[in-house]
Amino acid sequence: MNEELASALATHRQELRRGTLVVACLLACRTPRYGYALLEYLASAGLDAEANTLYPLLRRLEGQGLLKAEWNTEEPRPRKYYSLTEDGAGMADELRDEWKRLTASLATLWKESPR
Amino acid sequence: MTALTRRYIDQVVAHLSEGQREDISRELAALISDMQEERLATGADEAAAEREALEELGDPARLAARYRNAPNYLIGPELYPVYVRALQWLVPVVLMVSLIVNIVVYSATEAEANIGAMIGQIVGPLISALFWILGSVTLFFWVFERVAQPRDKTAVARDGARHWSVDDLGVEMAHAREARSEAIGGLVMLVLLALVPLIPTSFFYVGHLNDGGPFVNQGLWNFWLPAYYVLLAVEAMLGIWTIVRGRTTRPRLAARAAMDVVAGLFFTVLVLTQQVIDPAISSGILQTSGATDWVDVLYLVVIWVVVLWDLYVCVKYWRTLGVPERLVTA
Repeated sequence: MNEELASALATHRQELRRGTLVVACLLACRTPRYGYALLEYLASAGLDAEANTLYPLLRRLEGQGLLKAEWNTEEPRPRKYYSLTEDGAGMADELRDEWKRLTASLATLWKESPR
Repeated sequence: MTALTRRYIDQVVAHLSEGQREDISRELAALISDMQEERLATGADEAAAEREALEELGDPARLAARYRNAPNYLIGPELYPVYVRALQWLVPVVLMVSLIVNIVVYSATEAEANIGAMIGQIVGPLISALFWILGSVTLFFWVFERVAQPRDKTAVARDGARHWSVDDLGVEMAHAREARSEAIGGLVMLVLLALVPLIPTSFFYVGHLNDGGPFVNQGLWNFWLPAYYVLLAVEAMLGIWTIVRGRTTRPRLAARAAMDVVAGLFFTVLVLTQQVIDPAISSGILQTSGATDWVDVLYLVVIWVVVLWDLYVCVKYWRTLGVPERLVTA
């Protein structure tokens, strides 16, 4: 693949993945997790995110009322645990349904126009 | 926590609001410890692990910008069309106003008006007016981009952007706009041409040649200059006709082409039979340099290049006028 195509692919891939991190965070925070644990959890599911993207995102979702955060000071290292709020749960369901619709649409397109 | 980590965190939160600092500091400290620990587990030494963790988090200013969710652009996509539109309106207006004001001020304050000195004196203010309007509009939108709520921006984008509807495709309207703007440009040109026989030589630093009289031989008022004004008046009427009708028609084009030929012949005869430039000037420089003959040839070349060019434009219009019907029926 030449350089131009490779860079176009990188751009398209980034565009495609941009919104998925929000859905992934909401789904993963159905169980309370702190940032670094979330990062590892996402990685174990095959989703690589950067800490410097994820942490600001978590705060933003908290600000939108989709996640709530609590400091756990019982452990030797105090950590901020994020968990899904009721609004967040509703949002996660909506977004997951949207994702399913997209998957179905793409599956249809894939089937109807075989190479 | 080491001094290095402390410094990193301080630099991040320095860019953040007071209320967030404590919380984000603690969270980042825990994160960096976790990242460091993971690296220690793979056998790195403590200092190297810390460095790697901080390098992965990257520039503190950028991380802070992510926390603030600050835009890393001057003017975003919602406001950009409005910004461009504002400049499209304001720049010509401000330049025109500035030009007029400066010309008026110049002519009011200078005892002896002179075009060279006037240009020299108004170019500077014009350029600074241009930069002033560009800068202040950009500054305004830059601030607005950061201060306004998203829904305000959407509202501005909706109201300020050009409303497009299918009617804009109307061939008639597009033609009308084009024909009108061309006709207005033509009228401005005619006004300038009407001034030519009257401009005094002192306007161009050469007033000494004929004591500040006009460039054009004043003896031509017997017949040639009145005829020249009649030609201009007919051209002006054709232009006004186009502006009123809002479109160029084939009869109008035929009239324009005929006028071109008449004007070309008129100027040819004028140049060949009459002394156009004030004799005081010709005898001064042109005659002594022996340039009279080739100057006449030069006039004729210019005249017919202009005439042929305008005829070519007429032919081009003539052909495009038929196009819409052909496209529709095809």
